[in-house]
Amino acid sequence: MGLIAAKKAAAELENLGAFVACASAAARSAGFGSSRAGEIELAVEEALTNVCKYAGRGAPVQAALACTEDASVFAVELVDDGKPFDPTSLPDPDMNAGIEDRPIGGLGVFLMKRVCDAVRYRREDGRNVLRLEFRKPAGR
Amino acid sequence: MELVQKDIADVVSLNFRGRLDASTAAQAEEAVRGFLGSGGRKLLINLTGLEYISSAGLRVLLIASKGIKANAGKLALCGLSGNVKEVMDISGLTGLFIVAEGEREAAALLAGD
Repeated sequence: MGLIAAKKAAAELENLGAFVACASAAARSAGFGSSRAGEIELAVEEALTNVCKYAGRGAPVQAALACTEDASVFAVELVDDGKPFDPTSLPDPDMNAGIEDRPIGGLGVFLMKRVCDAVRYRREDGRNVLRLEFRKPAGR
Repeated sequence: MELVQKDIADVVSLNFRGRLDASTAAQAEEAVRGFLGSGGRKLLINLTGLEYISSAGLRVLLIASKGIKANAGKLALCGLSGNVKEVMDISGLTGLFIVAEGEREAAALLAGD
C-alpha cells in the first residue's frame, strides 16, 4: 500500500473541508472520476462528522487521515483519539418509515457504509481506526 | 454554498448551489427556518447547481418537510441530479418528497389552494 496523502488536524467541523479536500484530491490521483470521488468525499465527511460531534470527552480530539492505494484498492484510514466508537456496529435506519417518522440525522453512517466497498473498524492503542475501502476503476 | 432566494408568485424558492455539507448546512437551515418562522406555506427547494449533499444537507430537507407540514403548507423539490439524486435515492428520501424536474414545474405543483 503506497501512501498518497495524509493530513492531521483537530477533529473540529471547521477542519472537515480540508480533510475532505485532501481525500478527494488523492482519490482523483488514484484514478477515480468525479462521481465516485464525490462518494468518497461523502464517506469521509460522514465518518469525520461523527468524530467531530461525538468523540470528544472534554479534551480536544485529534484526527488523522491517510490515503493509500495498491493495484486494486484505494483506502482512506481515519484515526482519532476520541471515545471508542464503532460505526459499523450501528443498525441501519428504517428505510420504510414515512417522512414524519424519519429521525432527523442518523443517515450519515448509513450513507458512508453504502458508498464504500468495505468499512473496517478497529480499536488500537487507545485510538479509533476506521478504514474505508474503494475498489479502483478498472483499466488503469 | 451559494443561496439564491426568490419569489415566484406566492411560492418562495430557495436555490442551494455548490456544496450542502456539514460546514454549509447551518446557512441553509437558517434560510429554511426563516421561511417557516414567518408562517410561509409554499416552499420550493431548488437543487439545480447543487453538486454535493451529505447527511447534514438531508437533515435540512427533513426540517423543511416537517416544518411545512406544521404550517399546513406544501414543499416541492426540483433540480435533483448526479450525486445529489444518488444520495437522496440511497437514503430512501426521494419518494417522500414532491419532486419536479425544473423550477417552473415545481412552482406549478405548489400553485392553487
